[in-house]
Amino acid sequence: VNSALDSAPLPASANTATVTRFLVTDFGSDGAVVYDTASGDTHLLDPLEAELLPMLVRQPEATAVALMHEFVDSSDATPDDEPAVIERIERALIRLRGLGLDSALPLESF
Amino acid sequence: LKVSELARDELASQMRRGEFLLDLPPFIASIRSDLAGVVRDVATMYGAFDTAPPATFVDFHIEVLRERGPRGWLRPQARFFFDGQPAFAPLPEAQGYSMVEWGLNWCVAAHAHEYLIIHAAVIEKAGRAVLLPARPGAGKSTLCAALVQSGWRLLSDELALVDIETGLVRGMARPVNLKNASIAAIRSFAPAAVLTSPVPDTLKGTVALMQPPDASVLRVREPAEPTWIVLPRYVANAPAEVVAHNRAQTLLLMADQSFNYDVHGANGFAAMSRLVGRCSCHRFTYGKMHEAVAVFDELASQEERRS
Repeated sequence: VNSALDSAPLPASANTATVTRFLVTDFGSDGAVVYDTASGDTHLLDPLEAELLPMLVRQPEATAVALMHEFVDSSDATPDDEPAVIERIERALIRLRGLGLDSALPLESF
Repeated sequence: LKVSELARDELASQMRRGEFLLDLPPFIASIRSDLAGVVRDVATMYGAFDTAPPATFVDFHIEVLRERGPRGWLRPQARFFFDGQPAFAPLPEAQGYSMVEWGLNWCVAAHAHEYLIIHAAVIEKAGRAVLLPARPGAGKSTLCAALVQSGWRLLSDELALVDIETGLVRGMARPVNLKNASIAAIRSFAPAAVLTSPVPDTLKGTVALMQPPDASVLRVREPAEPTWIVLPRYVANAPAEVVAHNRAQTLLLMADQSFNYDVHGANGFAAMSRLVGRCSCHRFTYGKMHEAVAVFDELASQEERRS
């Protein structure tokens, strides 16, 4: 049986299939919940972390400053808010990266 | 044939021989026992339920039997068996019927993985269900008992069975488990409610079961649409207060209160997300049952007006 399996051709899509590791349910101002299919863990994200997550997935190496510019562009924050925003983003990045959520693997939303 | 249509001797005989099949939609349970107290309480609590014909497929074979041996003469004990195998430590014989209820809960929670199973009471009005998830001692069962004695339909006191495909919720309309002070509280609130004799000194304190209303049992096969998730908390003499609760936190709490969320993996997460996504989520503090019932009735009325 093993040899038959070994010699079976791989499905055509085997090398191109995308793996969705993280599933996300976004509740807007209530934050989001992320399910990690690799570990089976479920994580609660606050609204800022939830907003940063898709940015981080698009740019896994992004710094807090780069994300802050993107965040400020898409929010009501003013230049005066920047130091506080950077500090909060840094804290959020530490948590997201600690959860393994800086992976470039795609996300699926519910 | 309803359980109440069986003569008590016939019920005892069927239960002794292991021929008593109870229809607990969506399951069938075979309940065998040689204990008179178990026969008496099954007859009282499940009178409005159907029995199943002899050849019916049985989901759960349970037995609660008198423990044999010299110790049984000194302190009579009963033991729970599942599929012919002993499960759990024996308990005093007076707790035999409680073992039936706890054992049935365990059977469903550990085996019925076609459903997403959540530790929550479920009640319904006008087709819309309220899920009441709570940690022990929060007042879930007391609130559930008060509401079903006030016109709400009982789906379940302990286990919400969420159909993963449709998102609808089912229950078995089984008896409501009351503990300690809630026994007297329900007797005072609803004097016509039928309760078993309180059994003291169990692991959960003094326990009694409340008979489900006949109207709930008649509609036991009807699922309901989850509409509200309410986290109850009893605080003595506190005014009834309902406030919105964070939905992301609710999802996490529901996952924590589920018996098989982890078994379903990504499908469980998706089903839980859909469940929370379709419900409005609230925290509810109450200290008086009349006030609590009024709040829930108003919740249902608002939804009816909205739709």
